Amino acid sequence: MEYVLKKTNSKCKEFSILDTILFEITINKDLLFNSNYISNGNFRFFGIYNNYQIIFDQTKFNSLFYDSNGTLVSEIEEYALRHIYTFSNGNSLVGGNDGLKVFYGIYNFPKKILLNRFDRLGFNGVYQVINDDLFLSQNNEKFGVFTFDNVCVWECYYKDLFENYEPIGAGTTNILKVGDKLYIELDKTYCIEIETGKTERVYEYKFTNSENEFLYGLQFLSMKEFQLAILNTKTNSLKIIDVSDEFNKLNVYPDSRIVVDNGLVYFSQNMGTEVAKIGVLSPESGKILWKYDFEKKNGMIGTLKVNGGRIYAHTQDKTLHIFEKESTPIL
Amino acid sequence: MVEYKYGPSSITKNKIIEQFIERDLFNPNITSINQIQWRLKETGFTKAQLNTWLNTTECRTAIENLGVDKIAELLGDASILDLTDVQAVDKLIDYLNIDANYNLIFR
Repeated sequence: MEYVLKKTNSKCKEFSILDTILFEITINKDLLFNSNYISNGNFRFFGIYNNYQIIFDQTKFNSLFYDSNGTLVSEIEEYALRHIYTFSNGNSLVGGNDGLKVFYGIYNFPKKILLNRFDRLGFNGVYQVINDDLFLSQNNEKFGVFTFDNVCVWECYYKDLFENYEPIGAGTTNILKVGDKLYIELDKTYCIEIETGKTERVYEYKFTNSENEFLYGLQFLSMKEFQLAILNTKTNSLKIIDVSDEFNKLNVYPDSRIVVDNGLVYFSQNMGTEVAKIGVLSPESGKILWKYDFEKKNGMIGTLKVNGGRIYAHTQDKTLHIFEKESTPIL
Repeated sequence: MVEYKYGPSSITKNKIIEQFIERDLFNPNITSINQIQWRLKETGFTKAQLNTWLNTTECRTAIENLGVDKIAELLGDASILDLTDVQAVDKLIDYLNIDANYNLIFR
């Protein structure tokens, strides 16, 4: 497998991919569509709804909807709305900002009606929607499942799972949802039943990503020893792949952050090196299929995404690097 | 991640930008602001000094470059996702201007 650096866009503040279409906001906060200027302003991405890219105009506090041709098709003037989840009845859970307050709400986009507004949901907002009835919330002490009437169904303190857990300060615990289970990454991975909040299993390995029914996680045994753990949550079978030699021979100390796409593991390295690196690891063969070293001027890799056969790596110098497989249509 | 600083000139505004914001806060392996630990000895550095520097244009720009998503992750607050860039920067600076929060990182 060979990826080729096809394009670099400098002065990119953030990017979003709608289907396979690239939207960017520049460091001047202007909006680009497939690298072409659309509009100047003070913009930020605010989610995707029904194949429309939502843009937050941070000056006017409204929402703009662009289609996959880069055409402005709709606007909400009263507030900026971030799409979070679409219920089966067509209504959406949104986060909102009216210039004075942030809020959550139930919104009907086709009719442009705010059906319900909540000043607060959960412990600290909505971490993840579970289904039409429930969402997951967390803070530095605990996590729990709530209804959209903001009734807590159950809650669980991290220290009840991991007794040495210290609930200090702030931060985010990685929680994955697969089927009817939650997987909480602490010192180990704790599998919790969504319905009851009961701990069903504990895994010695940490899992940071999921794809379909599989969980993935790189394990750091020492500075030179790495394993890739893959759990099939349906069969509960665990596969451990020693990837130490692969990383060591290429002088890579990977980040704990990985991206999984179509069963391949995309890794990055930001620490312990003068230049940041990315690469692709095959769980099938346990081999690194491809690796790329950035230039020192690029700094660390912030966002790493894989979409439609392309790798998007946004580096600290505000450059978006787009890599393509040779078989991928040229941008 | 532990950073050691010794002596009165060991912490400058540029080091706050390059090491605290651009290296530590930006680091994709850091998911909680409290994973960052600076150990200080005879630096004379204070919360008030940090707050003054963080409110300069250079520091605010560096914090804004982290992105709202990263600030929300570091502070563990999903409601930050609905803030503007400027509001999210204020949220991080305000967080560090609380004694208990400052003292968890700079000790």
